[in-house]
Amino acid sequence: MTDMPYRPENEGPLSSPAEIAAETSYIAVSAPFATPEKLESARELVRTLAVADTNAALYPTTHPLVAASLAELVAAVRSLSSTGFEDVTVNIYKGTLFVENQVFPEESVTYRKLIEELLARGISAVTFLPTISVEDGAALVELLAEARVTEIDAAQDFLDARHVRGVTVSETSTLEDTSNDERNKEVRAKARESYDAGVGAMRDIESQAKLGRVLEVGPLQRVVESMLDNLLQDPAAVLGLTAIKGHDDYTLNHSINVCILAISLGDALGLDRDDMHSLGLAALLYDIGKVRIPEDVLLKSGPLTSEEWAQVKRHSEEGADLLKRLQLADKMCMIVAYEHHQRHDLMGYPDTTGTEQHLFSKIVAVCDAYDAMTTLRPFRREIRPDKALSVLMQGRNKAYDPAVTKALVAMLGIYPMGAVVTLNDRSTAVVYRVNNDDLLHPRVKLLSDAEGRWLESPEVLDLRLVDPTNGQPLNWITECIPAAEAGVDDVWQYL
Amino acid sequence: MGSETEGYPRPEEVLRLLAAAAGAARLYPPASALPAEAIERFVSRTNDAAFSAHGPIRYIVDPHEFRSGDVAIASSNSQVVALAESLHALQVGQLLIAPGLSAAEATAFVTVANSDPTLIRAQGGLRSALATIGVAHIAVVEVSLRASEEEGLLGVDLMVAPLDTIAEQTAKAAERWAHSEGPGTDEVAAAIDGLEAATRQIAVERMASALMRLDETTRMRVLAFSLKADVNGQRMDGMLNVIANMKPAALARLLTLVAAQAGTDPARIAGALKLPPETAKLLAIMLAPTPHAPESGGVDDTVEAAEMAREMAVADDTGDIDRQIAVASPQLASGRALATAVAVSRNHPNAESIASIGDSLPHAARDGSFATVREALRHLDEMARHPALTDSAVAARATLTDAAVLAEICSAVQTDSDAAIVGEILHSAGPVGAEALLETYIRSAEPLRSLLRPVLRGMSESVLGVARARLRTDNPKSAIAILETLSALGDRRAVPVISQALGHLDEQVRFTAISALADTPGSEATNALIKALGHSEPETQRFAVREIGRVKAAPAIHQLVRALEDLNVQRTYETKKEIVRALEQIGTPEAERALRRTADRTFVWGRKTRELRALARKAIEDIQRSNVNREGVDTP
Repeated sequence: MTDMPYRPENEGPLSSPAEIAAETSYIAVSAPFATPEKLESARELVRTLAVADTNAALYPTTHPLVAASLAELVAAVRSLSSTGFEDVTVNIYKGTLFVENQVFPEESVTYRKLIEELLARGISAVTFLPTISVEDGAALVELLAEARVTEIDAAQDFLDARHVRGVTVSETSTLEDTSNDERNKEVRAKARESYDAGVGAMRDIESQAKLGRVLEVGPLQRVVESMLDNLLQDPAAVLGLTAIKGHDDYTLNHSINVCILAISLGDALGLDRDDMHSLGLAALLYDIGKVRIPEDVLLKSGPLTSEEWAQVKRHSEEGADLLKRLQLADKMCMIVAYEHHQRHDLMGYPDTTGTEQHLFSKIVAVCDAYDAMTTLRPFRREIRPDKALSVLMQGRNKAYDPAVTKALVAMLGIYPMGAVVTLNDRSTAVVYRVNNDDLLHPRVKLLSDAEGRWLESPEVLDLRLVDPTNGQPLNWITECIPAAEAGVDDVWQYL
Repeated sequence: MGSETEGYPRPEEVLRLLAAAAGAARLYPPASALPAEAIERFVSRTNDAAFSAHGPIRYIVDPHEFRSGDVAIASSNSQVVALAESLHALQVGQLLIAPGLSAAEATAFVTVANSDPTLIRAQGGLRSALATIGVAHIAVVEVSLRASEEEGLLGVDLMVAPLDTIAEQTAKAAERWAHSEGPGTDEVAAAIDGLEAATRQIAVERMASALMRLDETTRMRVLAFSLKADVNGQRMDGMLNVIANMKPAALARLLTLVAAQAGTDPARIAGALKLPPETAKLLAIMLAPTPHAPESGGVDDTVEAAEMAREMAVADDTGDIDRQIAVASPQLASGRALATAVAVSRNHPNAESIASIGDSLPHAARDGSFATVREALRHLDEMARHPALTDSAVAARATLTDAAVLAEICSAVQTDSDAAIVGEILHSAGPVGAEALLETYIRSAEPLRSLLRPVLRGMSESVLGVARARLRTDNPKSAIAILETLSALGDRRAVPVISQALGHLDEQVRFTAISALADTPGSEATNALIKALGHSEPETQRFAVREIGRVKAAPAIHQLVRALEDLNVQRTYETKKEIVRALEQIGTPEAERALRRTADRTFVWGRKTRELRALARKAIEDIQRSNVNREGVDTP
């Protein structure tokens, strides 16, 4: 375990992934316990449940100790309810304890007995409602002690017979919403259609710009609308599209990727739909000025001369010039094209009068840098995603707005979706879904085994799962590698 | 003439045409021209240049439909369904159609496909039947596996065998090639050549996929073995062809590993492969020893993920994001848009860039981005000096002459500095600006009025012109508001306009006009006020008297006294009482003297006259008392 990327006991005051997640998740909207207080409440719920279970095993339910612990359990549920949960579910998934989607590694070991008893009763999910009473709690701990109950229906019958209304039990096959698989597939297909339509529309726009014609942005607006529709249905399906890296049509794919990253980030930041539409369109067109820069300069592999560099720098103004007369409700396309290289510290170009970049320009700047760095180009290699994010983090307060950069990392995860990684057993995997509650331990799809044999169908592995004997992750990422170097083509197909 | 299947995706169009041909062959007698025409359309479209570039089309045959992947194709078309059912009865699992198809092959296929399935199956199946009659560009994969009598790779059905089986045999074939003493046997080439043309490319791709099922070391050995020349100097081209069909990144990795092991350049090994142009291009990029992205300069190659997680955990520098989000709406960025348009125009000074300023000007002004608006107006002034751009600059400026826009601009004023810029804008707009200003002033509350008052005074001439017109036409409520505004002007030039309202039919308007005159400084206003004493309406007269008293208009004393001493007390009694009060309010010695004349009258008759005398006496007492009090205050 020495090469684990993250060892709680070796770190500073934030000693567990959960704590880190709690701290970071002020922007990671999918994390259920987004504040330390909520996280502590969730931990308290698990603790009180385990204590009530233990006490009930030692004493009759009428004993003051049991009564006190049941009262604590009820109080813990109500405390969580008061923070906005309609109900809260304790899940046991592959031997690991979760509250909602939040992993509790230490508790998975400490409360092993509770986990085993739940599983022995055929229960892998216990849902607590705010209406829970002490009597409901007593019935639950009685159920856990009832050895004759071994399957879920009998367990629920046991509670029903005691008129329990504040607790339900069920089975958890996966923490993902598998019931939506079909719908997600459909959204994924639609998202891909939008992506391809976007590439086509961008190709047309580039041609129009090169020929000096009026830019017809209607098709691009439709692409953005469609992306937004898909984003609302399945954000992962849309964000996953950024794993598509066009090598021939780099600028076209890059624009679409930046658009997707930008609207996803806008969504994470809480922008409304109209604003996201505007942002998305601006993110598609921000680099259009490059059509006026000679291609040999743009694609030059060696260092640029000062004259060439001056030419490249002109693309912001040229872009704004091309976009200045678009007949749209707002002028964000022109603004973002003009400002996207001005940098957070205003040391960029074109020269500024001291006005800070618009938020949209900052979003596009950071998304542009991320996608550019992670894409292989004829004149330079790509950077692996985790390193690209590290570059952005180091550029905070300089090139990039610190809050926007952190929001991007919180959204993408430290190992973003589509990142190709090597696991501790030397197998190769691709990050399939980011766990917003635990950025270091995403869900991955195994692609090949340690010897490099590709699997017939990729297996999904949740890296949050812990070893029940020591609370340490069962699998972990040792390295992130550029997809091309790992021999992985078209990462998107695995997402 | 367009066919009825035109407009469908390629696989669907080809399938529809084939089904139509099969249907025609089944339904019409051999003498009919229809089957041949249907075959002709099917063959022509299959071999179409635009289509054939994509290679063979592959369909999965289900009992009642064709599929491509998960998608059913033309499942509502009865001819297509009939064809699927026919092929399914012949135990066909997949159908492949390749470009290069001849009409004879198509006809033969249709004929066999329409035959009695029992008979075809008894004769060895459809695949065998097609091979017998020489159909190479339409192939089928039967659901039941054929037992092969051959060994090794040649004994494997490359179209349906599990990839692991193919992988195992492929590795063995490569090994046999490498260890053959004499001329090598390229089993891969032989296996591929033994297939129908329509299936060859798919088989190659399956074999390429199968290579990925091998462990990496074996995969490397397969490549290394294939590159080895036999006694005739031949390499294992069949295998190299398969390797060339691996996916680019996987191939790049394989070449890199093998090259590293052999101490050579991967590009040299790639040279031994006949790569499709697109793959070759991509491979060249992947294998090129190019530098990392410049943006990564200075960042350690080993990213410490935990370190990044710690940085993320620090809740610093994030407080600003809420502020930024609050002002992020594009609707609030009009000033920024204008500033950008001006910046662009400075570098591209042309009619179009000036027009774009014109587009943004009204929005920015409405938004209250007045400093930017001023900057833009200065720029437009500069541009207007260029003869070629004068018209454009004027047109851009003209966007700020719309009454509604100007009204919004007035409403957006928040500071004195804003008001100053708005004054410039309104002034440039002329009477429309004055109209907007007057209207906004009338409608707004005091905080905005106080900001706009200097602007109003600065534009009094234009405002008076507008007010004069509106007083004639507006309703009483509006007229009153205008008069109140004119009063705020404090400009003697307003007197004639205000006086005009003394003739208004509405009493309240007249009263407001009198108050406005009373509040306007200068003798012109006082004279006009005095003149109002002679108004034909007694109430208006009395109101004028009251206002004279309120503002202590001493020059009016003479006129007041004349009215007071009018003999017709019965008719003017109420007015005279007001005059007594007004004189008391004026309180000057002259006023006191005037009152005393009334107070000292000894020969009076009638109750009203006596009351007036009593009022005058009381007024004098009040004046004197207040004088004493004032002296007391003044002289401590």
